[in-house]
Amino acid sequence: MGERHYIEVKNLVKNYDTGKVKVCAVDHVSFYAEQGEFIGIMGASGSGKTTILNILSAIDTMSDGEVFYDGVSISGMQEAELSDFRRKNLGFVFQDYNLLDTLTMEENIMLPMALNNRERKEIDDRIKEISERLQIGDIMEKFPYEVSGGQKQRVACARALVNNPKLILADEPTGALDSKSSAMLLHTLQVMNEELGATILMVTHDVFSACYCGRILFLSDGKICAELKRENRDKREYLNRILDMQSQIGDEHTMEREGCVC
Amino acid sequence: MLNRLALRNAGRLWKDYLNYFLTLCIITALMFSFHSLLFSKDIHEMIHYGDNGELSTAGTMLVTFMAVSTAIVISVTGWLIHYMMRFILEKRSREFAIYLLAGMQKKQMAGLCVKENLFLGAAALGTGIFLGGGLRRALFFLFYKSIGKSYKPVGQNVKSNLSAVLLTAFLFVVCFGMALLRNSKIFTRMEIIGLLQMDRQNERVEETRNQLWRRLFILAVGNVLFLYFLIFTGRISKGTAAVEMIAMAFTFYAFWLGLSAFGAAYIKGRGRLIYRRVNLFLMRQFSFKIRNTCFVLGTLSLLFLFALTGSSFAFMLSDYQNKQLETEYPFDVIMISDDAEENFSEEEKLIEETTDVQTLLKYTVYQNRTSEMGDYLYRNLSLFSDRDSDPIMTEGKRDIAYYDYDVYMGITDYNSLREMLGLEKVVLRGDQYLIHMPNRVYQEIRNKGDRPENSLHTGLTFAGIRTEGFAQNGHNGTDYLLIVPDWKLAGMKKYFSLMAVMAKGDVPEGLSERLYGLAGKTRGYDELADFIKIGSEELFLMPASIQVKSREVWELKFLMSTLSFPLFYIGLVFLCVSFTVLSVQQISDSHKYKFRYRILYQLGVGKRQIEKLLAKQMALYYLCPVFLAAVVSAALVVYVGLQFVAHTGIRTAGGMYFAASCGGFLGVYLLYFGLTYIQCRREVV
Repeated sequence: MGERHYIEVKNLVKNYDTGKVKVCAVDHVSFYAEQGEFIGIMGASGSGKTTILNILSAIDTMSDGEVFYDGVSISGMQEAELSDFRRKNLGFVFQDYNLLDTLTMEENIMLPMALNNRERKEIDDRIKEISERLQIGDIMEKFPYEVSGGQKQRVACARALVNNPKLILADEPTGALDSKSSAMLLHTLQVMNEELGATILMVTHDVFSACYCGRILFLSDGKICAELKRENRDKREYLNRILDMQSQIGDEHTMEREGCVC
Repeated sequence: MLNRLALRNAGRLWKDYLNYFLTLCIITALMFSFHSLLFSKDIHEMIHYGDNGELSTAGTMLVTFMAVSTAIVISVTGWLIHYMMRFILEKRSREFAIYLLAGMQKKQMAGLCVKENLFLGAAALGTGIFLGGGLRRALFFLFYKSIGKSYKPVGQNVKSNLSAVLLTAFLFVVCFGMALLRNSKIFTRMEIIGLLQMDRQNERVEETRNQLWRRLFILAVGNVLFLYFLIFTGRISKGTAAVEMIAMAFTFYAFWLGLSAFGAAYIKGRGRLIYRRVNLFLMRQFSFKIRNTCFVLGTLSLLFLFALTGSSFAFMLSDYQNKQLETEYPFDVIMISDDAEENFSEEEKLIEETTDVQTLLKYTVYQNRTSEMGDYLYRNLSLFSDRDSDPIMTEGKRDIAYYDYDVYMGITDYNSLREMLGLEKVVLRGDQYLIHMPNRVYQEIRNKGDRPENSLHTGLTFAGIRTEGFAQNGHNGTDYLLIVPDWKLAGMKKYFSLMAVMAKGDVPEGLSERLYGLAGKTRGYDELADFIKIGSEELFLMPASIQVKSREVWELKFLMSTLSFPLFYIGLVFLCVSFTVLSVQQISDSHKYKFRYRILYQLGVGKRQIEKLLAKQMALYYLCPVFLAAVVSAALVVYVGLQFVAHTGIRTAGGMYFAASCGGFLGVYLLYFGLTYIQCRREVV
C-alpha cells in the first residue's frame, strides 16, 4: 500500500471530442501535494494547466483517473456532492478577480461563509481577522469598481482563504496586475501559505510568480515533463533554474514537433 | 448589401428578443381584432339609425371608446418600441462601433436601423394579423354573447377585413415612426470609443442620498395607507381624490428608490437574514436592480395599476350584464300611462297580433296623498346625502327620483304579477301590508335604526319586505311599492295604469319601435318619460314608459360592452407591454451578468440551487411592481365594487371583481414568467 498524500492526482486524463477531432488536453498526469505546500504549475499556452486546475476545482469532469483530497476521491461524486465539496474544501483566486460587482469587498469575503451556513459571530470575527492579516481593512466598505486591481486580488485571496479550505487554487493571479501589485499579491499568497498554513496550487506562466512556489511542475502537451523544488536555493538561483528548465522544455518541445529524436 | 444585412439583423433580433416580438404580434392581433368590430357589417347596422348614417347612442359610445382605447394603446406601444430600440442599441453598441470602424456613415447606420425595425415590424404585423384572424372570431363570439345575440361567423366580408388590416398597419407604422423619430438623435451623437465601452460598463451601485430615499419611501407607504383610510372611512371627496392621484404618481416612483435604500441599509446594518446562504447575493441583486430601474419600475407599476383597475371595472360591467339586467327587466313588455283610465287596447291588439302571449295583465296602482315611504328613502339612502353634491342639487333629487305620492298595489294584482314571473304567491291578512323593493335598496336600509315601518302610517300591520326583481324603475313603483289588501284600495285614488306581458317565446324585433309608433312617439325621444321617476338607480337605467325587455336589455348590454371591451383591450395591452419590459431586462441581465452565477458556481453553489436562486430573483423582480399595483388597485377596485354593488343591487361580493381580474392577470403573468425563466436559465445554468 502506497504512501497517502494530502492531495493526490492519479493518471488524470481529459479528452475533448469535437466531432472528427479528438484532443487529449491532459494525458495521464499524476502528482501529489502535501498539506501546507505551495505548488506551481507552469507550461506554455495550451499545455493543459487550466484544464488540470478546473478538474481539481471540481468545475470540470475528468475523462479518466482519480483525484483524492485527504483520502476522499472526487471522481465518482454527483453534481450536488461536487458543489458541496467545492464550497467546503476549495478556495479560488482568478486572473480577473471574479468578485461579485454588486457586493462590497466585505460582503464578497463574507459570502463563502454564509454559503456554508456559519454563525453570524464567527463570520464577523473571521472577516475582521483576515482583513487585518491581508491589510485590506480600509477598503471593506467599497465596491469592486471603486478599488485597484491589486486590492481586488487581495480581497479575492481573503475570500479564498476565509473558509479555511483544504486547497487554494490560483489561476494566473498576477495576470492582470502591474509589477508592484503583483509583488504585493505574491507576498500575500506567501503569508497565506507560510503564516496561515494554506495549501496553494498556482497555475502561472510568469517566472517571477513561480519562484514564490516551493515546488513547480512543468507541463507540456498535457503531460508533466519536469519537476523543480526550491529546496535551499535563494530567489535568484531559483529563478535562473526555472528559466533554464523552461528553455530546456521549450527546445525539446520544438524538436519533438520538428520530428527530431533525442 | 445593407438590405441583406438589415434583413439578417432583423432575423437575429427576432430570436434574441423573442418575448418582444411575441408581444408586438399579440398587440397587433388585439388591435386588428378590435378594429374589426368597428368595420363589421352587422355591428355597423346595429349602431346606425336606418340608412341615414346617423350613429345611435351605443354607436357613438362604441366609436368614442374604441378611439380613446386605440390612442392609449398606440401611446403605450410606441413607448415600448422606443424603449426596446434604445435597449437593443445599447446591447449592440460594439456591433455599431464595428460598422463605424468599417467606414459606414452614421446616416447609413441610422438607415440600417430603420430597415431592421421595418423588417421586424412587418414580420410582427403579418404574424399579428394572421393570429388576429383567429382572435377576431373569438372576440366577435364574446361580443355577440355579451349583448345576448348569437354570432354567425359566415358572411364576413373581405372589404371590412381589409379596412381593419389597413387601419392596424397604419397605426403600427405610426408607433414605429414615433419611436424612430425619438431615437433618431442617438445616431448623430454616436462616438466609436463610447460605443466600444458601452457594453462593458456595468451598472454601478449607487448608494448616495439613501436617507432621503428612505424618508420618501415612508411618505410613499404613508400615502398608500392614507388612501385606504380615506376610502374605507368614507372620507374620499373630489378634492382629496385629486390630491391623492397626484400623490400616487409620486408614490409609484419614490417607493422603488426608498425600497432599494432600505434594502441597502439592511445589508449594511448586517441584518440577520444576509448571513443565510445566498440571501446576501439575492438581496444585493434586488436592491441594486430596483435602484437602477426605479423609473421603469414606477412606470410599469402604473401600467399594472391601470390594467388591474380597468379589467376589474370591465368585470363589473360584464357581471351587471349577466345578472342584474334580468332583475331590472323581469317582464317581456311593461308599459305605464299617467292616464289612470288608459286601457292599452291598441297596444294589446298589436302585441297579440305579433307575439305569442303567455300572460297579459292590465292593472292600476294607487296613491293616498301620502309620501312617507318616499320621504323615508330620501332621508336614508346615501345617494341623497352624497357629500360631493351641491346641496341644491341634492334637494332637487327628491323630485327627480320619486313620485309625489307613495305607490300602492292591491294584493290580487301583486300576486298575479308574481305568478307571471314564476314567483310564489304571497299571503297577506286583511290587516297587513308589505313593502316590495329592489335588493340594492333593501341592502342599504336593512341595518338602519330608522326602520321604514316606523315611518309609515297605513293603519295596517307590517308583514315584511320582498326583494325579487319587479320592474321598480318607475313602473311598479320607484324603489318601493306598498302592497295592501284589496279592500284598502277603496279609499285611494288611481295613480297610473299599467300593462305587463309575458311571452311564450321571443318577442319580435322592432316591437318596441312599433309600440312607440302607436303612441305617436319615437323611441329614444319619449316625452312620456318625463313623468317617470327611476329612483336611486341612476348608473345605467333610463326612464322609459314602454319597456320591451329584449330591446332594452340588448341596448344596455351593447352600451356596457362598448365600455368593457375597450377596458379589457387596454388592460391586456398594458400587461403584455409591462411584462415584456420586465422579461427583456431579465434575459439581457442574465446574459450580461452570467459571470455572477459562474462565480457562485465556483464558490460551491450547485446548479439546482442556482436555478432556484434565479427563479426567486425573477419572481421578486416580477412580483414587486405587481404587488404595489395590486395593493393600490385593490383599494380602488374594492371600494368602487362595493359602491357598484350598493348602487346596482347586484348580488356579488365587492372584492370578487378584483379577484377575477387578478385571476386573468395571473394567466398572462405565468406565461411571460415561464418564457422568461426558460430563456434565463438557458443563459445562466
